[in-house]
Amino acid sequence: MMKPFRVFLFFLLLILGVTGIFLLMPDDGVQLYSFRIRNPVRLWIQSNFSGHLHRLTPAKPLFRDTIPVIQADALRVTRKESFKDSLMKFVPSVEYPDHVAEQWRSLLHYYAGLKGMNKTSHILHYGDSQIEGDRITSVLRDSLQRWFGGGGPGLFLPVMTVPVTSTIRISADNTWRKEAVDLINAREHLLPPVGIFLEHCIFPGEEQGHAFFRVTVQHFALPLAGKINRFRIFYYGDPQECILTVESGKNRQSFPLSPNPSLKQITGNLRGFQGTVNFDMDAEERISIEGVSLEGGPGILLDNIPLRGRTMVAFSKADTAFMRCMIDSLNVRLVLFQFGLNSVAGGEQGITAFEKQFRYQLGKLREICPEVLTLVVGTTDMGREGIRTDTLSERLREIQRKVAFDEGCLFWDSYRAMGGRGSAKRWYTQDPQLIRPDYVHLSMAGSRFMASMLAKALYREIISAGVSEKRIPQ
Amino acid sequence: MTEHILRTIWVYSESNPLLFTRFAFWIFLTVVLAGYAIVYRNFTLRHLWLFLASIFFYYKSGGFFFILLLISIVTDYTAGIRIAATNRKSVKHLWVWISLLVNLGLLGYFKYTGLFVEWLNHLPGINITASNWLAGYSNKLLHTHFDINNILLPVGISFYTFQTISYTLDVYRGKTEPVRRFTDFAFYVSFFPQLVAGPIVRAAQFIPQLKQKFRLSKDEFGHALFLILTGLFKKMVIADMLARTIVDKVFDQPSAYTALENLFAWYGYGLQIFSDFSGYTDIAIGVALLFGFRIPVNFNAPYKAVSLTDFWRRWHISLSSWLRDYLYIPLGGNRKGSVRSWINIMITMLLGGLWHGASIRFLIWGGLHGAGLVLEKIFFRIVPSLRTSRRKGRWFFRILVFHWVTFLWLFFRAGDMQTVRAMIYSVANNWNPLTIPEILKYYAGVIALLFIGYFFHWLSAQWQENLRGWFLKTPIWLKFFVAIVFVILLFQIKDTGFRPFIYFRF
Repeated sequence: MMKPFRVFLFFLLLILGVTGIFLLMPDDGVQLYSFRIRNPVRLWIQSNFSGHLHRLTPAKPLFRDTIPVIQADALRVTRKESFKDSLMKFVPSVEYPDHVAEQWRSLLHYYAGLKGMNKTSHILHYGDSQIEGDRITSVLRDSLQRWFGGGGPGLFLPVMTVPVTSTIRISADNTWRKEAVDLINAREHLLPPVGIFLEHCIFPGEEQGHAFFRVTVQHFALPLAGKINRFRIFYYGDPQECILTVESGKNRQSFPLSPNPSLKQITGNLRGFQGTVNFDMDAEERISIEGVSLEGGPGILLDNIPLRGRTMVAFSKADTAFMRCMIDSLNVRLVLFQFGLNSVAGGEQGITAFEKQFRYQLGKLREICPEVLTLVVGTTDMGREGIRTDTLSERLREIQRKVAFDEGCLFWDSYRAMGGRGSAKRWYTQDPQLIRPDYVHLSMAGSRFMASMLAKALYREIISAGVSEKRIPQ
Repeated sequence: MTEHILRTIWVYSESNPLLFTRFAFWIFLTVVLAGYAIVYRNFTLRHLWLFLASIFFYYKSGGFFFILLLISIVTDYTAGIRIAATNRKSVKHLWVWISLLVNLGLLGYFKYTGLFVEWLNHLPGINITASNWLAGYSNKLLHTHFDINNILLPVGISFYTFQTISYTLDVYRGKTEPVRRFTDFAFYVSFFPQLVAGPIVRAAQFIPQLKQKFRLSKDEFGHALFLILTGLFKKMVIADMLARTIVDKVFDQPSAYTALENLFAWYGYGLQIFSDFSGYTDIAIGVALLFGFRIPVNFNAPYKAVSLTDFWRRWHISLSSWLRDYLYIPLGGNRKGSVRSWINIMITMLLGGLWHGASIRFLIWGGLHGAGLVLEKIFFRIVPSLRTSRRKGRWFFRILVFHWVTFLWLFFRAGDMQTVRAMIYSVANNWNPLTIPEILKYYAGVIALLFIGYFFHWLSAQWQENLRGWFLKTPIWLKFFVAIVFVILLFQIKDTGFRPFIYFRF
């Protein structure tokens, strides 16, 4: 028989045993082959008693902030207003070194004049899985299009890793093949001609004579996403007798694709667009599609280019002239970078490698298009082990800001916008949740909120650049 | 710092409730066992100690809502005594009605006011808001700072109200004697292992144990420990990891994911909810057994069911048997013809769905289960030979039932009907064969989790019993060692924040 005292003793010894093991364990755990056994006791103490046991958590100096963080600190928001309202009140400004100010203001004026000049300009939004699904880009795009004109979802490929986003739905038949820069490199040992996606879709006309893809604007997409009146397809190859048929509603048009050794584009109108457009290709040769753009009038297009699992855009792996050609065709003047998740996941080594790669790739981008400005969106706060901010994410943010300034880029601090240290946890407790339970990826609501904060920061820049408020409906 | 530690121990914190998956709970359990070891021979003290511990546990889980628990306890204790004390039917009826009104009134107010107000506001000219008047009074009288615009659902209210109602009805029907001592009754209702998420323990199953001496054999202790460890594994390894890696993010925005990812989330949720709930129940049964009390099993490999009727005999057994005994049978059951029986099934399942949540989605979930049960009954009338237990195509029916049940979980988990539609659409349309190899590689961990979870679920009962039998036969020091290693490993994969048990929301 087990008397209650023996049961009590069993559990007492169990608790003492577990606690004792963790107290004897080194603070950063024990490495067992490739697995690290963490020490949660220390972390529990830190997250519950950090205000009292600060000796266990040596303070790491943050960047010297130009505006005080205190009001936006996630832990000190007053009860009188909601957390989100407080954050929106203290949205950080876009930062940049002084010598970039003139170029930035000129660019904003250029954008303000796009409608008058009857031109479009694409902005490329590169990022990791944080921007997947067009969750952040769509809101930003809507704001930019409301201010500067334009419509449509921008650029995409017939086959995407995430074919359904909050803006469009792409379906394609099985004929297509996708090639990314890494794969091409391994095979051909030459810098491949790839467009801005750093991958392209191949229609192997020599094997299958027909392929199609269809794009539908989601019925819940933001309004301007559906304002489409033309398409552009960027392709590369040597197609003989290739016919592209574009069907939208009752309109059906055919375009012959002409052979050309460099990047070429087809443009066609989509007047009376009713939500879906089909693209059919008939050819007997291989064609690479570098991008398809659905556009609506003069203004801005913000292209969502998520590179899941990547730490940076590998411009160095692409043919410079080819890339330059596409960037010119799209009239790109601004590129957004929003990376960080995968660098933090890579630990200390990831962070160190990131700085080197980031400088290198920014340098490559400058080689390709020296006049393009870059806006680096700093990494978000990421939670680890409870309320504690992952210190690696703080360090990464510091590196991103430093490199951005060194390389003459703009920088927007999304970490501060979220509320600073520990904000990931606070975002998680909001209703609806603004961040997913991994405390890393923003939820749909959180993505939209983050985008609206960035939009507010940009709007502030536009006004301070001297663009008249009457021209820019908020 | 001392003040901080004391506050952490004694004061309720919404972001830090006392859950089975928290280390703090096991410290609490050890303290309760210490006190129990002193008082267990005296029944009055034993029940009083466990009642006080349970009230503290409830307070640490749900704050000041323990007052509602006390209201329910007092009401039904009094009702039980009064019903048994009189021979007059009218008085008996009166006390039954008082019990029903108080318990269902509390449940209805906290759970369904929002839904009721939402439906009312659809009528033209009506625009009312629900107000938490209890919070209002508390703020006024006790200077608290509760949000009066938000009616929070007290933890476990759906469970303990049903438990107390079943007690009163059983006393009324003469199935059980009333409990004379208040502490005994209070302990029966509030016993902390099963307080917040069941099982719903019937008086006939538990009350007799109040008069029995403590007994716990070594095998039973081993069984309790086995249940606790497997329950923690199911909850923290299977359920929480599935939620974190696939279910939450896909359900958050299904249209951003491919059909295959949506399917992973769908089947993942089926496994998550089973592992979460059955894991909780296993821990509850194991903890109760440590005190010498036996509470009934609540799950019996539900995804092995060969029919929907069989499924409802295996899933959340205490609730389905409660609905059968106190709703379906009083409505007439199957004694008034087939059509009436089908209507009774639909009513029972619709209300069963509504019990889970105040939303149209739960109504649809319950309604579809009801429709499935009715269709099944019609089918077996047409082909009665398939009704026998050893029937051909048993695996076919098993797979059919499993997929039907998994499909219906969509309504359970999706935050709103738009998500339901988006998910169905995504599964039907977002197939992209080119991305399948990449997805399979990316989600290798999720696939492994699904495989492990479903494999152990579908493992034959003999194999599961062999595993349990091996554990029971091990010496106590080996059990201790296994438990320590297990706990250390669990800490490695533990979620950073707190992830409550799914059925806590009901």
